[in-house]
Amino acid sequence: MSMPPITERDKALIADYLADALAPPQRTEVEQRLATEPTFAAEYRAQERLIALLRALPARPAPRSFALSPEQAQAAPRALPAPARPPRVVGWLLASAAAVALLLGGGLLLSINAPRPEPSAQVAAAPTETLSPAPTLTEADAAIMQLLTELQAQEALALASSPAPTLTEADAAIMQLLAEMQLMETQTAAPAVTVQRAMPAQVLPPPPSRSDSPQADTPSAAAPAQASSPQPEMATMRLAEEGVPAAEEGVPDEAQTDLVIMSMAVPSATLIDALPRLLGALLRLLVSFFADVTISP
Amino acid sequence: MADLTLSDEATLIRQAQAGNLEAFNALVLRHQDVVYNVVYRMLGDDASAQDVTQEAFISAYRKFASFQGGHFRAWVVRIASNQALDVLRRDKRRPAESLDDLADEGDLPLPDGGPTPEQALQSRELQRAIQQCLESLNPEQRLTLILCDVQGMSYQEVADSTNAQLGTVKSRLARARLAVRRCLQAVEELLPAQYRLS
Repeated sequence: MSMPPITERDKALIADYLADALAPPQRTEVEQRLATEPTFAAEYRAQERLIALLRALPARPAPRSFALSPEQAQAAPRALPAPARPPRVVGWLLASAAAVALLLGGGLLLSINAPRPEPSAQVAAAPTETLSPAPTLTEADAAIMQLLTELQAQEALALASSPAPTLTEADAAIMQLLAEMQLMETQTAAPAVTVQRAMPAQVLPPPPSRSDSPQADTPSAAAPAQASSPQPEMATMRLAEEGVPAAEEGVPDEAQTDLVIMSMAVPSATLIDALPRLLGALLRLLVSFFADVTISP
Repeated sequence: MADLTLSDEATLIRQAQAGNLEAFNALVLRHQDVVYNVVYRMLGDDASAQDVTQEAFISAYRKFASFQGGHFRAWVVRIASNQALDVLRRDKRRPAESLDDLADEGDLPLPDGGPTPEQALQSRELQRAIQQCLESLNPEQRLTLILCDVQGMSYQEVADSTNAQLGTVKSRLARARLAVRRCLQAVEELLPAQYRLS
């Protein structure tokens, strides 16, 4: 009676059995097959003897002590400066972020100059629920801020783990960029992003001018409207729920007129002026990365 | 040195990471035999093995802040084996085993007690043949076989030491064993009876 040839699975099973790496049911299977299948048992013996032969190779004792002398320990400083890799990784992230921000900024500049329909006409013509198709300045601002904040946090983390952080031109460029962004935020009352929901068919009055708003300066377009601080710009963040007037949340009446679609709002002149500075800062960031210049503090 | 328990080793590691050189050297003395043997079996040359072993411990001292726990032996074996692999890749050589090296080897254990001169010679010839078969493997298979079958490490410890998945360890081990078995068939007459593979 011919025995079945040994398979790769059988060899792997035997190897795991010899390494004591099998679960009890599999161990039982192996032991049963060892007792009933001669070819299986022959493979088991061959593997077992090979392992025993290799295991029996004489262990060579270390010919000497490899303990470190004080001189060797001194010559191998333990607190090494951060290797080039982490800052380079962060640098690539910064460069990528700068490139993305440049593209966004350039795209926004183009979109700013594109002709736009009147807001009232847009409201009358678009009663159905749509999301703003094109990124607004505020979305870009928020995206850039968030990205730069995350990168700054990552760089801070990398520098914190380094015993000898250095201030790089990239750091300086980031700081300047963030300062510029903060300046832009304080100088402009960024229009909020709203999601247009199904609105009753009506012509809403145009939004009041900024001078009419009780609070023109809004630190962040992302802050939700709070009953304790009714701000028209904050109010525009609220979703105009169908049949649910925002007045229930404590928004002043004059803010109701602000609950219009503003996804295509015209940004302020100050923001347009600030964009070149922003782009310039991003360019400097890119240049500093590729120049790989490090300035020690 | 007294037999150190795992908790003792954890204490030594903590002290060494705090900058205590004596604690670090205690760890070195505890694991240097294993590290040296692995490197020697990889390189087949005592002088190179000593250099690489020393460099490995110096490198381990330098990088000790990055040791995040687990088996210290697996971690330092990984450092040493990486350096040995670098040497092999750089040199792409099969080191000639000196007769002095063989003279320092012990003898393979035989069932009938102390070996006769002929048996001692046969034992050294067999060890030379085994070492040559090891060196015929590619570096990764060689390292896996050495760690698992020569040093007796578990699959997981081998995986930790070689930074490989368990499946990769098993695959390399199976191929290495098959290759060494075929290689040893050429010198089967040198194998003692209890080690004959067929």
